[in-house]
Amino acid sequence: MSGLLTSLSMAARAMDAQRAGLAVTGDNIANLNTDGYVRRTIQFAEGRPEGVDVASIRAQRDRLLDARVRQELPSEAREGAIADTMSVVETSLGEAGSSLDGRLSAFFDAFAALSQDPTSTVARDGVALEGRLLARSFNDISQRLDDSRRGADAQVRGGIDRVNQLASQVASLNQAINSAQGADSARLQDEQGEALKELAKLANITVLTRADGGADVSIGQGAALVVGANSYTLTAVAAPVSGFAQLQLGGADITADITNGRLSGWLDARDTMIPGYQSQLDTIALSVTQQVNTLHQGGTDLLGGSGNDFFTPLAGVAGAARAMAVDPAITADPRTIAASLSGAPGDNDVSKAITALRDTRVVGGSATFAESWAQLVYQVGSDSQTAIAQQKTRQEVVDQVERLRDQVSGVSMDEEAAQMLRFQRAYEANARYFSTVDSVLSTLLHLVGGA
Amino acid sequence: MRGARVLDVISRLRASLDAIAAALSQADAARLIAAESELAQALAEAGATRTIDTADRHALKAELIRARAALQRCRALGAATTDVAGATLAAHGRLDIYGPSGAITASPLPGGRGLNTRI
Repeated sequence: MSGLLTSLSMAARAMDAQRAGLAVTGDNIANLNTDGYVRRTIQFAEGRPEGVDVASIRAQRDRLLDARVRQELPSEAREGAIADTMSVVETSLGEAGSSLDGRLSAFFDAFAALSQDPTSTVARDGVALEGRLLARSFNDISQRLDDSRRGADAQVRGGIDRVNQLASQVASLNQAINSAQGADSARLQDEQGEALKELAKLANITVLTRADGGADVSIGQGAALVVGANSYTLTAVAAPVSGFAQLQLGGADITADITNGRLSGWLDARDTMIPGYQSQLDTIALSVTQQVNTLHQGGTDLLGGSGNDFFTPLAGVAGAARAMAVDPAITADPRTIAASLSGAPGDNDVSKAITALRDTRVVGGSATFAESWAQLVYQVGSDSQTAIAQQKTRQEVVDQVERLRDQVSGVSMDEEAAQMLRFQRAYEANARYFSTVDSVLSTLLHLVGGA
Repeated sequence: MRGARVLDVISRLRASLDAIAAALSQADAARLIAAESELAQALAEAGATRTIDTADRHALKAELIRARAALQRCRALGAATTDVAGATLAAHGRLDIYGPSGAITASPLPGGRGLNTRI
């Protein structure tokens, strides 16, 4: 009887153990598409004195591969941030033929028409109008570039907030992991993995795994962001002149230390790339203003006046495109446009000379206005395509490393099913002998006088 | 046939059953597959016995009881493993079942399946 009770107890424990295995398998299948979920396996062990017990439920986590994924993510994220910003900048330059290139062409066409009939009021009105439209085009493009820059700044501020949220989350998880055990700890570490992955996309971070499974995080050149259950706040401090966000941690400016991740991409676009495009645009605007003014000042208008500007003089390169405007005197009275050199009837020398500026290499001594604009457009397009191509390459690396990690940690439906089928078939192969074994044992027990 | 040989034969049969139970408890499919040939061999030897040496009667009885316990353990663990495997395969739609027409067909996804509590 005691043998029978032992067998029943043993079988019940086996049922419990296998029920746990069923729960683990179900958990894995249910979380097949859950980001960050790490496959669990169940380890059975021989029970004491007999039977089977659940020894442990383990998450198949490979910290080396996890770290490798975190290493690749920042570069991909940085190029992605630049690519996104560049797509906005590209659209701010307008369509080919209807943007600044179109306005420049129309402006010189208007002066060409004036040179055909220097006394024509219609032609003068046309020149004044095209002058205003050209200046407005410079103003608008400059404003849109500035808007793109502010957009990148807004992204930086949003990124700072997100870093703080994630840092706080990691600190809370550190505390929870420290006191959790078994399955709870595994689940918390899954959450921790996802939070660290998202942090790595935002900035260059370094992660140190604690003995209890928690994680300490530093950012930039080693500034502490999370230490145990404590997180430190990254703050956005407005720069004195521009008002753009500078990153501070513990009172120290770490903006220059953010060299990877989305924050780095946005900072680069805001502080280097867009200002570069703005400077090129300002150079073209200043050159147009100065070249046209120089010729115009030497001419004589219909009222006999001379030495007047066509465009309002600009102080320098910085802000030239934004400030460019037709001189108010021209706007008020187009008769003050100086088409003639001497003022004699039929003299159209100044309007001809201004028209000829279209094809003169006056920008930096090496390019026409149109060529300089085309160069700017090409530069923006090239930077955008480069960022997209880099992001694609980095994404392929991230995908490959994640595939490697998933081979250990990820749930594969095929693997689960194949394993189950293997067990089922292997057991069936043995089980076909069991009734014969039972019969032999019963017969022999009868022979030796057993129960 | 001498009793000592019977005792040795039953010992080997018990050992092969223990190996199967251990493989099931450890979820070790490779060991489970390897145990089949050992069991077949031990069973063939046990089936060939005809007489028992009375001097080994008590030792043989004890060994037979242990072998029976090992067999029961194998059946208990095996039934649970079969249920787990069946539930998983049913969830994957890979468990072949008899359909309404009597033809073998794949089970529909996802399959609900109760745990067989047969001992």
